[in-house]
Amino acid sequence: MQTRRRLHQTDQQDYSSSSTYTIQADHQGGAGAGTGSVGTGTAVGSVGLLTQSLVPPTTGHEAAIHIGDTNQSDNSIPSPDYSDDKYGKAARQWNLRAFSGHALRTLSAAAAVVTGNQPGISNDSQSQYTNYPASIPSSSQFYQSKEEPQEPEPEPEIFIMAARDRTGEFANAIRSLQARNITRAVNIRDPRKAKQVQSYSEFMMVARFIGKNIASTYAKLEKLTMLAKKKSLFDDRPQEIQELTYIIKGDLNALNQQIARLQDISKDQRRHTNGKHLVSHSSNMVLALQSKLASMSTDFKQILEVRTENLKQQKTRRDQFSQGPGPLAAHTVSPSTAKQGSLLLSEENQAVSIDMGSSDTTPLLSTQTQMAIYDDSDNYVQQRAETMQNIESTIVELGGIFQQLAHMVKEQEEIVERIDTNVADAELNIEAAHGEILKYFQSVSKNRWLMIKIFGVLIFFFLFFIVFMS
Amino acid sequence: MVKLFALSIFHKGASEARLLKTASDLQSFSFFQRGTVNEFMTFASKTIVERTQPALRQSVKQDAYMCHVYVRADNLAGVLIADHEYPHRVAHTLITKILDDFTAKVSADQWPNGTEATISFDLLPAFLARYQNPVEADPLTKMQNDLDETKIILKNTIEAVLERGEKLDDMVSKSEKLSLQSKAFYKTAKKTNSCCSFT
Repeated sequence: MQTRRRLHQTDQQDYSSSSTYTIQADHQGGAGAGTGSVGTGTAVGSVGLLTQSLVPPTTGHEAAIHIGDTNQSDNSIPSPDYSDDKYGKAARQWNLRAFSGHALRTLSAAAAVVTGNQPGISNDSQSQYTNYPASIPSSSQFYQSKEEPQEPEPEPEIFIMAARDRTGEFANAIRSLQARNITRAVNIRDPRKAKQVQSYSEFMMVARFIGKNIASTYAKLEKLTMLAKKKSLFDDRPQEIQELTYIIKGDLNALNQQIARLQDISKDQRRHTNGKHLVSHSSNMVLALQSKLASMSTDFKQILEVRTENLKQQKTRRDQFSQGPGPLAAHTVSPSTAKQGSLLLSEENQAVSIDMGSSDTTPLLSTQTQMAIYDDSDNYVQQRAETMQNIESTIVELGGIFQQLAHMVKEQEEIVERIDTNVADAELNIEAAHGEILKYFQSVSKNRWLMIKIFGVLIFFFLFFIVFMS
Repeated sequence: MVKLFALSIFHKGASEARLLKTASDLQSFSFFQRGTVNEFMTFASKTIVERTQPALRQSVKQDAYMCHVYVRADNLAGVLIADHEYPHRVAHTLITKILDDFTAKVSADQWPNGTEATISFDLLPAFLARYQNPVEADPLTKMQNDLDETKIILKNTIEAVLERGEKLDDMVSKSEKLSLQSKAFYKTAKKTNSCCSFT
């Protein structure tokens, strides 16, 4: 069933040649809306291009969608009706100048629906005007479900589909668009606050975008985890894993930059606004995003480590399988077989890929030769790397030993302090005791003199009495 | 005991290997054996170089000797004949170094057609002599040894510190006893002094 929308054109020829969308933004908001009514999203746009949609020049609020058809008898239709003017007025009222083409199209479609009583716009156009998951089937459905306007014009073929009242959806769309450009309305009232709100909403949008990216990168990381954890010997898909790793790395970098930008925005905001809560909220959000990114990077690192472990194991298993049968023609006692546990990461990747290639394609003996020889010439570098690692670990050990030494000496310092205190106490006591004994000695010697004197006096009196009595 | 016997540089041509320079240290063999041993070593080196592909290192065991060979991508090859205990890594380091020096000193056009007489490169014996002792010559090994020695010294130090700790504990207990005794001494002295009457 072919449906058609009416075409408003003054100069049909010119526009029939160019089958492009033009968003005639300023002077007729309705015109842009007219293009918008063609469909949703760029995919739709391509369909529209394919079907030679014609852009109405001046005030046409609908474009013609001819499915396989060129424009027909709609040439002489003048600027049709009041719905156009009403629609244009509505568009101007909401100041749809700076809307993106998508939004304009959506809004105009929605407006056209309501004002011109033209139901049948598909759901996508209104509810998800920011993301256009534009699927061509839905858009074609959209096309086919468009309806003729009820304008008093002689239309030979009018197919009226089921009518649906989408006023509510239109209102929602208007509200969300309004929220996005809230500065417009707010501008009228309070310029300073408008700037705050605008910067805040900008911040929010960037943060939301970053959050979405983080979620998608997480999904990729999960996939990589699953791939890397597979331990089967033959089902390994290194290409995929490497690609995925590369993609995730790029994503992480991009996320890093975006979060840095977000941080700048929030710092900028901090300067302008003096709302404490806004500032703290934005800084919290930045912190949360950063921590998510950090956790994702650590997970990524772990996955890479797991992958290298698996590669090592695979290599050893493969070596076991293919070095079973006897020695080679060249009588080399490869000391390399002993060193297989200590391959470096990059060399190991090379070795694994070469081994996989060789063991898959060449016969067994040449595989052995290739592998043994390869390991042998690899050996030197391995050994050097091992020596370096040894040296490094020794140095680290030495550092640890020094630290222990210092710690022990510090502990012993405490003991020395105790000894010092004890000895000082002892000295004090001895000094005091010494003093006491001196005093005692003095007292003792002092007393003797007194005694001598007293006895002397007593003896004198005694003698005196004896002499005078006799 | 690690020992190097011979060090030679070859150019691996399309059909055969040309000996460009060689140096050997055959002091350990008796005088009459040296000629034979020398020839044998040259022959073995040549064979090995011919059997090795470019950009490859190999260490081949031959009776009592270990033959280390490194053929570079530009067909310049170095062979080192040592005993079994000589560390492989040091051997290959030496060969690489020799080849680099040789490349620096002798231009590449002389390689395909040179003989021992025409090419002037005198560092071989010096290197051979120096690398007889791999510990001193190879910086990595030297560092490793130094670090090991340091580790031992540190372990001894820690033991000494532990002993010191024990001694300090002893000291603590002794000083405690001393202080207690001195306190008792003081109390006795004070008590003796308390009754002032002369008795």
